[in-house]
Amino acid sequence: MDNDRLTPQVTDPAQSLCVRCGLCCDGTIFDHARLFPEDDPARLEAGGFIMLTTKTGTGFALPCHHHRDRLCTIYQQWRPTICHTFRCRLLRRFDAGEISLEEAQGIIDRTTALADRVWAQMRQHMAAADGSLRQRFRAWELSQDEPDWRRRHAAFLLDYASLQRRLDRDFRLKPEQTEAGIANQTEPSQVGETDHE
Amino acid sequence: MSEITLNSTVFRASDVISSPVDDELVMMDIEQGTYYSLDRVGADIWNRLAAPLPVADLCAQLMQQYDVDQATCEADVLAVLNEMAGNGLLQRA
Repeated sequence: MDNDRLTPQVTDPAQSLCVRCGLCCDGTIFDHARLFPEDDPARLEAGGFIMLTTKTGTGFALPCHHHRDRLCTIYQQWRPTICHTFRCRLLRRFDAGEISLEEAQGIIDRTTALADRVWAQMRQHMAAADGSLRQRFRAWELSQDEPDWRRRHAAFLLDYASLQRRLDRDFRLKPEQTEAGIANQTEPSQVGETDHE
Repeated sequence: MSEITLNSTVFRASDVISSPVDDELVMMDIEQGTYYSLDRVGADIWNRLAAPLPVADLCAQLMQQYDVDQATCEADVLAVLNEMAGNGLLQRA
């Protein structure tokens, strides 16, 4: 794949953060994205998006199949409204001047490195599964039938929990920040039902 | 577990693993599959509990480390320790 052809034309610093990240597209943070009234479900379906009926309306499944190697392959073309309107917690903090570009880049780099490691392990454990990271993790959990499975996979579970903590703290919106857009998935499955701060 | 007091001696439960997340600490109870995150001070407390430590000594150590009065320190530490114990993260010597 020719990355020069895929690389979005970055015109502002906030956009450069999104291009560096992609966690809201690749199924790491969210299971699905919600459609807006102006989105045409038929056009989306024709474009290969997997349509879903969600608790709050209609959406499409994540990971987005147009997202590849942290790049959106249709960035310069037509995209669903949510793709260019959603702003995660990190982006909002950057917009508000609460963190610098370098700090935001550091958070993204540390989180994507951990996410890559968790995804790689998840694919090893569940090679045939698809869906978001959380969905695959749930399927993997359900497939475990040995009593000591958590102990045997302790390192992976801790990586998964650490990733969820980073996502909760730095990327996911708090309930009061959630607006019509991407369904906010904050619970990291059985690992992390309780999150004490 | 009965309430932890200044006279108690506590240490980490053996089934808890942890990993730093910047200046926080993520801990996971292997048996329960639940995870917890601690802020910087909570992580500091946790790191001091690798071996059994009297709570009064823990408070004394923390008062040397942080700018906090004795009453506040003891109240805050006991609250944290009792919450940890309530979640099965601590053992008593």
